Formats: sequence, C-alpha cells, structure tokens
Amino acid sequence: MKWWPRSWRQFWSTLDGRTYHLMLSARPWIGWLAVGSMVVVFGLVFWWVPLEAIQGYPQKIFYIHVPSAWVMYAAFAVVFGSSILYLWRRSSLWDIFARCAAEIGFLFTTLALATGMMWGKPIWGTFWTWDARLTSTLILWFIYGGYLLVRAFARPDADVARLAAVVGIVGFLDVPIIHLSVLWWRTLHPEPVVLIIDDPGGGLPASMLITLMASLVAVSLVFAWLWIQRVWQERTTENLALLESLLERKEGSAR
Amino acid sequence: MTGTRARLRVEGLTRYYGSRLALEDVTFSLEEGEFLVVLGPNGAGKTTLLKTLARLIRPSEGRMWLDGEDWLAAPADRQREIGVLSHATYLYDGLTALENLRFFAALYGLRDAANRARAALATVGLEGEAARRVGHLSRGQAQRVAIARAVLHDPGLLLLDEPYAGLDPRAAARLSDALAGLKRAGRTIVLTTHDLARAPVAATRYLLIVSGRARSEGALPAGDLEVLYERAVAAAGG
Amino acid sequence: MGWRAAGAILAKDLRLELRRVETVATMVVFAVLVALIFVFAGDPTPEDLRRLGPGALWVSLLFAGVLGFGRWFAQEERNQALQGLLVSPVDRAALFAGKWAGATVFLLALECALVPVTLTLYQLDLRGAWGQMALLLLVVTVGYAALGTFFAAIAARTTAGELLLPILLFPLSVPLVLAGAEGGQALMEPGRMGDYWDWFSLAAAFDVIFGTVCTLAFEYVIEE
Repeated sequence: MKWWPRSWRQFWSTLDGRTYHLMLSARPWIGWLAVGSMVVVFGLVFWWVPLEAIQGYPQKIFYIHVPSAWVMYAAFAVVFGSSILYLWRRSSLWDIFARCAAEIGFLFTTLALATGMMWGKPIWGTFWTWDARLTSTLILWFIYGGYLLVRAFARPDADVARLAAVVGIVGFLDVPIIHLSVLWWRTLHPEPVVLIIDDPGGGLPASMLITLMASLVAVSLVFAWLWIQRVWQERTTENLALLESLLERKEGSAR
Repeated sequence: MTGTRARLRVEGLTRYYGSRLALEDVTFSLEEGEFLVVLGPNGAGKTTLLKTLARLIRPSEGRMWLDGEDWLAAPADRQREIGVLSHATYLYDGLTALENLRFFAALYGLRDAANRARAALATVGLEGEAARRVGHLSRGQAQRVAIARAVLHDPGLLLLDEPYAGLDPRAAARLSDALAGLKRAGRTIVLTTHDLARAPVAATRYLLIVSGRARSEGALPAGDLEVLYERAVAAAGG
Repeated sequence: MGWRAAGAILAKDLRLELRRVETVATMVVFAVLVALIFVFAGDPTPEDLRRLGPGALWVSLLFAGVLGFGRWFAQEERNQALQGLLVSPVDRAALFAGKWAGATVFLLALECALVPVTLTLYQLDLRGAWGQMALLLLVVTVGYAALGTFFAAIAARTTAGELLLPILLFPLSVPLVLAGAEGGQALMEPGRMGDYWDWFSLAAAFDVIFGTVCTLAFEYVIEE
C-alpha cells in the first residue's frame, strides 16, 4: 500500500488502513529492538551509572519508575487520541487502539505505583506517602480502572466502543486539572518528610541523565511492542469473527 | 411506484449489532395517507426498523427520505414531522395525564400548550382523567394518553411499535378505532406487530420481515397472509 | 428553542420531585448520617473537628450525590420516557442542560440542610464569610452535578451501574473536592482570602471545561 497520499481527501479516507499497515510493518522487528534496548539499559543501570550518594542502591528504581510514569501518560494520550478518532471515523480500528492502549497503560500505571512504593520504603521508611506525584498516579490508576470496568460491564446492546471513547476523552481532560489541584494541595500542606529530588533536568549528573533517557526510550519501545502485538491480536480476532458470520449467512441463504 | 413525492422512502437499510445482522437491505416506499403494517416474528428486526425510521438509531448502511428530503441528515428539529408510539408509553407516572401532555407540548415548542394538551386529551376521550396521575391509570388508559402524546404536535407520519402489546380486547378495539380515525385524517402510518390477528382493519399495505430481511409485501386486506407468513418463516430457517 | 426545552425538562423534574419528596429527603438523611459517622469513627478532639469539618461536608455531599444521580436517571427509564425525549426535536445538548440544572437544584437543596448541620456538628466558625461559602458551594455543586449527570447516563448503560458510578465519578471529582475542602478551610482561617480565590477559580475553570465537554459529548452517550 502506497504510503504517501495523493490528496488530502485520499489522506483522510485511507487513514485507518494506512495507520494499521504502518503498525504491522513494525511488528517483526520492534520486539527485538525493545528487548535489546532493555538489555542495554540493564547494563547501564547496574554497571555503568554511578551509585547515588545519599540513597544508594534503591535509587536505581528511579530508572524504571520515571519511564513507567511517562509511558502511563503517553498511553492515556493514545487512548484520548484514538477515542476522538473513533467518534469521528467510527472505524473499529481506533477502538482497538484505544482499548489496547488502556490495558497496557493500566499495567504501566500499576508498575509506576509499585516502583514508587518500592522506592519509598527504603528512602522514606514507609510504603505510602501523600506525595503529589504518587497521589496523582493513584487517581489516574482509578480512572484507567474505571475505563476498563465500563468496557467490561457494558450492556450487550449498548455501543461499548462509543461509551468507552467518551469516558477516555473526559478522563484524559481531567488529568492536568487533577495534577494541578493535588500539587496545590500538597504545597499548602507540605509533607513532613523531605522529598528527594527525582525530577530529570533538576540538576542530574550527565551519566544519570543519559541512563534515564536510554531507559525512557527502552521502556517506550516495550510499550509500543506490547501494544502493537495486542492490537494485531484483537484485529485478527475481529476479522475472524467477521468471516465466521459472513460464512454463516452464506450458508443460511443457500438453504 | 416510487417517486420523490413519496411520503417516506427507504433504500437498502442495513443495521449491524456487532457482527450480528439485525436488518438487511430493507427497501420500500410509502405514499401519503398509506397505512403500512410491518409483520414478522419476534426478533425479526421490526423494532430495529422502526427505531431507524424514528432516527433513534442510525443505520449501518442505507438511506431514507422523508418528503423527498434526506431524512438521515435532517436536523433534529425535523423530528416534529413524526410521532412515535411504542408499547412503552414514554410517560411519567408521577405526573398527571394533563401535566404529561403539557410537558411534551412545551418540549415540541407548541404555542398555547395548555389548550392543545387539553384538546388532545379530549380526542382520546380522557378529559375526565386529566388530573389523575398516569401511574394510577389502567394500561389501556395510559396507552390512550400515549396516543394523545404521539399526535399532539400534529405529525404527518406516525410510527407505532407493537402498540397492541398488553391491551385487552376492548382497549385494542379502541386503539384500532383511533388508528382508523388518524388514517382518515390523512396521516401516514407505519405499525409493527408480530400478531397477524391484530393487524388493524384500516391498514392498506403489509411488509413481511423475517430475520432482518423483507420477504414479501403487498396490499391489504390479503386473504393468503397467514400462508405467506408461515412460508416466509420456514424459508428463513424457522 | 433549545433553552425552552431544557427549561421544560427542568420544570418537569422539579415537579416530579416536589410531588414525592423522596429522593432529596433520603439524600439529606443519608448525608447527615455520613457526617455523624465520621465523628463516631474518629473520636476527634475539637481541633480535629475543625480541621476535618470542611472535608466531612464534601464527603457527605459526594456520597449523597451518587445516590441521587442514579435515581434521577432511573425515572427516565420507566416507561422508556427517555426514548420519548430522544424522539422529540430536543437536541441532546439541551436535554443534558435540563437534567444538569435539575441535579444542581436538588444538590443545592440538599446543601441547605446539610451545611448548617455540619457547621454545628463540627463546631465550625465561618467568621461571617457566608457569602463566599455560598459561592464556593455553588461553584463546586454545579461542577459535580455536571459530572454526576453525565456519568449516571454512562453507568446506566452498564450492568453494574450503581457500583460503577462512584468508581467513575470520584476520581474525576477530586479537584472539586479539594477546591471545596481547601477553600472552606481558607475561609475559616484569618488572612487566607487569596487561597480561597485560587481554589474558587480552579473550581470555576473546572465547571466551564467540563460543563462544555459533557454537554457536547452527551449525544454520544445517549445515542443507541
């Protein structure tokens, strides 16, 4: 399928198919790339990057925690974009994009929470602290969960895809506002525990920054790989069901 | 015989629910003043067809025209051209019959809502029950208020989905009379039912739908309707 | 034209509720009970009470609201009244506006009872800032009513509707709860009017954004 469209009209009308084909073309090699880059990052984290002075070994969770959080937001953005496109194009492909992104995004949110808590225990002495970012992540976890529950519990005659798309859009729009309000809340009632700076670009030494960037790329690749696999799986299942029903109908009318 | 003067024209209406085909390539047209009965067993797709005509749901494929105008693309305001009656009354049990009608009059933007509501109630013979809550009315009486609601805004096309469901013979007779009166007044009517015996006497045409597809159509009264029905159901695989 | 229809829907809902004041009355009782239970559960000192008070008010409101939203949609399900509305020329945005307005009115009615009770139980002192408190209540309620009405319609299309509504509603309402609790707190401490207005603005912005989004997106929820 020719990738470059001849006109805007052709661009929009073939958008769904071309997007899917673009993704499919990545399927064979992205898995290897993802695994390979994770191996590289593993090496960087455990053998190259220096030990952090104050926190010691536990600080290394940072290299998984921050990228997980980043993917969490990216996945939600995919859900948002796909949901809008679904409501516009009404093609099931976008719905597949959205629900797979939500599933895997939920996984990464759980990972971000878990690594956040694992990091917190040795540093803060407690598994949970009402730190602004951790709190926002927890709320996002619930929003994701709500999205998945709506899909799971929709009535059989209801248009699940449309309902979920709306939930995805409204949920995503709320995320920045939730962030802001939780941050304000925390500045008004600061935590007694001093938070270790974990913000990239807030004075990190070069080696740590490089490792963080590498990890960001690697984890993003893992997400992309899982997502493409899942989308392909769903799409194929759907095609199968369609073929089955077409065959049934053919037999039905032949009788 | 079709033409742009047809009241209602439908072409290739198809509707999927997931991979299940509820309606397949339904095509027909109705002239002004005709009374079409859509027959078929339960689950045949009659309700889906009616909901599509009422624009409650969008067809997956196909086109519709109302008075020559593209019905699918028409703005929401054009809904005042149709009146819908279902086996559910669309009424609020907690409000009185009159309050219900006044509400719908306001909803349809009718001037002089109070008087029109009262007049509509009178046409179905229920002025006496105007102050009674719909929840306290009998099923037959509630259905009559529902008829009043459906014709309150004087629509040209009436869509009725299994309106006889749950009605006793007396109430059913009253409904048939009311429908005959509406037809005489020049309205175009589409009515669905699965019960052959209840096909109203005033009907002029029928359309037989089984498993989502239109199997046969013709003029009413038709002597061999039962046979056609059985044959169509058998042909579709029971 | 859409406004007339929205107004008619609001009037209809008000009339239905006034006839049998069951929903609002139940909500009031429930909300007061929640406020009470907090005290029993925590055994707070007077200082604790003053700190928790604003929060308890909003928690009670939130829970009572969830009860209400479900009911207000259930009455459209009986006799399939909702289809009657959908078949009429009313456009979906006006339909939402009418239901949203109704939910706001009911919640405000609830607050008329709940706020004095909470202020008393929790020994809170507004220091004369009644106007600002009312304003804050209004702005948070309008936002909550919008989200609640919207998600009640979504939850109604699931089989676990009553359970799903709070799960969907609460996380998204966090900014409103924070605005209400923190804004209220700011009113009760001297010299914090700046904070109060910050939180008020947040809630107001929330209302504008989600009021618009929900009104526009409603047709996608309602359509079959």
